[in-house]
Amino acid sequence: MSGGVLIFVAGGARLGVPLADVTRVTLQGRLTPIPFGHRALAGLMRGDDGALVPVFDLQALGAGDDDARPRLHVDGATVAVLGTERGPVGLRLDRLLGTANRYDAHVARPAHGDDVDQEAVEDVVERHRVALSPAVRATLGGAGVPRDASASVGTAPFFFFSADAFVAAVSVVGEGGVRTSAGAPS
Amino acid sequence: MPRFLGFVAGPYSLAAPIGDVRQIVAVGADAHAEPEDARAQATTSLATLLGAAPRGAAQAVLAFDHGDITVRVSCCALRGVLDAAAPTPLPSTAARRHTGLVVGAIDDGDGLTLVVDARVLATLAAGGGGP
Repeated sequence: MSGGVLIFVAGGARLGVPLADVTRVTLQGRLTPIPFGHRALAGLMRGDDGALVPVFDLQALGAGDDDARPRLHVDGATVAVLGTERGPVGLRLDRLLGTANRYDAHVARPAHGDDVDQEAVEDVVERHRVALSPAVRATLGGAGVPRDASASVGTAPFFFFSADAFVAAVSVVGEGGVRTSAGAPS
Repeated sequence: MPRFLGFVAGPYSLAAPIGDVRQIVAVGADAHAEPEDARAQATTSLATLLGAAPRGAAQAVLAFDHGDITVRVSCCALRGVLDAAAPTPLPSTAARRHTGLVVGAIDDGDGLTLVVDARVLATLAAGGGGP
């Protein structure tokens, strides 16, 4: 498969996002915490273009502790701002590895609106003994292995992170029993 | 230019349209005193209401209208009047409960401050929902 992929580590998982889906990669600005925010929501940031961007930390998804809150400030943290149908999503990166222009697809990315083959993802997870929390697995949309990557990217498999699936995963029924576009329990 | 009253509750930097704040009941040392009038409604810690720990003793008590009653909430600090452009709405990807509480954010020269809907805040303080 071809098409640039940004590869990084977030929440301890080796993930990738098509470069076309990345609005920008930036240093984390000052975050403002939001009351009743989802436990993975670190805070709100003003992006370089003036837009408000909620910044999430996948580490909190895997914590298994409802009271676990992402840290507000992380020195030198890098944030990938991703576009979704519902608006921007900022993802705090543990480490930015680089880009790969060609990769072998272990699990094909589904067509828009289709579900990823979760069994195939599970197979890759098991085969490569990758530690992924169930909550993070729910945000994945395929898997691949870089073919022409730099040393920093390496040739270990990565999983496509789906920002749209992530937004859907953190959605819950909000107050009044109305399903909000992105309400969530702490 | 809209004017807001800025206040701090635990880790949250908040503001409400100044016309939506019924009264600044107390500021400073008076803010931690119990109301002398036994009929006065108890003051609710805003930080606790929002699911966070207050930072130190209350430094301000604000009153908001809630129907026929007035609810009183204590804050960790009163920031004063903020002049800012109209709030920028939060994107729907900012996953949270009580989505009506925070209506947007303003830049007041000291970072982002979240603008709250005083009616929703008063409803929460009156026991109409919480963490």
